[in-house]
Amino acid sequence: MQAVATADWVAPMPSIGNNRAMASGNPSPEKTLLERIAGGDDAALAACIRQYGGLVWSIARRYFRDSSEAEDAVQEVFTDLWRSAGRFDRKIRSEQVFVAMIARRRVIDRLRQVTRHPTEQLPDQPLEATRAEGNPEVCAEVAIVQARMNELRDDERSVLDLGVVQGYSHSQIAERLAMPLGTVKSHMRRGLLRLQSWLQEGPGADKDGES
Amino acid sequence: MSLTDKQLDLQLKALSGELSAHQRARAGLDGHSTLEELAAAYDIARHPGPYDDMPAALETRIRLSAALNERSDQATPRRASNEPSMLGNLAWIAAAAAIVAAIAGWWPRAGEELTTQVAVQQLEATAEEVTTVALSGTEDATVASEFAGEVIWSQSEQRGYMKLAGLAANDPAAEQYQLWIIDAERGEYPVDAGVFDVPNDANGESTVPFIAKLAVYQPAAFAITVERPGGVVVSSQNRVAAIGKVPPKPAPESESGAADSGV
Repeated sequence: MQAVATADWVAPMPSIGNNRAMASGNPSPEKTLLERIAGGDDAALAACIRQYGGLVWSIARRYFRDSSEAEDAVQEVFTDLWRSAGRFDRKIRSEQVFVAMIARRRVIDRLRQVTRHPTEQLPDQPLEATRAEGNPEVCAEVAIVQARMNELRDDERSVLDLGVVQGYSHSQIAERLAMPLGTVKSHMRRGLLRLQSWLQEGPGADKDGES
Repeated sequence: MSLTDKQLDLQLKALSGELSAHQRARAGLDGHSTLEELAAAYDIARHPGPYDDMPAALETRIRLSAALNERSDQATPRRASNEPSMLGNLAWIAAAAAIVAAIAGWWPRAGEELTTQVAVQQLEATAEEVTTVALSGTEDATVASEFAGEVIWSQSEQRGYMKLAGLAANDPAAEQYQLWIIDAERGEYPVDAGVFDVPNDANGESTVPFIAKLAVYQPAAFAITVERPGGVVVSSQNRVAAIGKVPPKPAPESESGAADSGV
């Protein structure tokens, strides 16, 4: 198979919900799960829990060692999703990313309430990107980010890994990396805006980044 | 489209959890938010899955709580609400019941025989502190259009009985009804309140005593599901027949407690 590296990642979402909404793709007339929920389609609720439960759970588990905290957080996430479904716009973002954003939002808010995330818990090594067995279901946007990840500068990547993936506050990152707070923020911001420019360029722009 | 420095600053704050809900809303960041979305995309890119499923019990809890929250405004009358409602259709809860059935852990059988008479007498003795909860029937096949039901629950006794009319007689060899108590305090799982049958000779009406299998701290709702006898397998056979939300409690110690049992 001669597919480009990204193609492997662009696994179609499972049939539930006909989730084909991809920010850079042609918007499908079929409604996404959140669109159906916003439209009052009850069946989409269960489908949404089934579709994104694993994603949301994995985010919550990453931030909370205590599983009952994680469970409460997941419940909050879905409550927020039902409420926010009407705000989702597939022209702006894929549904998968939107759901992950809401999940991160609720989980991080909760984390800030519950704990100071003590710095001694900081791992020494940056996290490896996990790629478990099986075919991960990622949307086109995430596939683009994955394909071009190595274009990030080291310090941007460190800051993103600590701040975004592991949930440390800016000041905790500053402490950890012995970096001025302002520098942390600008790395974070620049790194994320780099992602945005990749998304605007769309798939395929990474061809020479991959073999 | 490009964001101003100020917007980027706010979004960065939002991203790291530095905004209160109010600040977030005021900044228009309670829906889409560019940096937060990019962070989410980065997060998924670093952890693309496949992911473990969330625990089945948690999934049930989310489904039930969503359904119950939605129903809190329209707890009593059957199909009273014609207004479009995201969760109004109880068929949706039936899906939750399928998951309920999958969780062997909270699937104890009713081990204790309680005679109806004794149960009712006992409760009547403590009548001043019982709570009456009206049940609403669902669209389930077991539920007649003139379904009426209520749960009489004693918090101190941790038991109660149901008065049911319009619930179809069941063949215990094929399926049984099961009562659940959703406990706001406990949160985790609905508490099993036992399996029961509606006999053929019930003439459509029956009184069914029950006892909570675990301590119930703050009952929020009661739900009757239809289950296979001994069934623990997820199956489309699993359904919700009726559900009722506990009305808000009058302040404790007040004389109005009697209103609960008033006719």
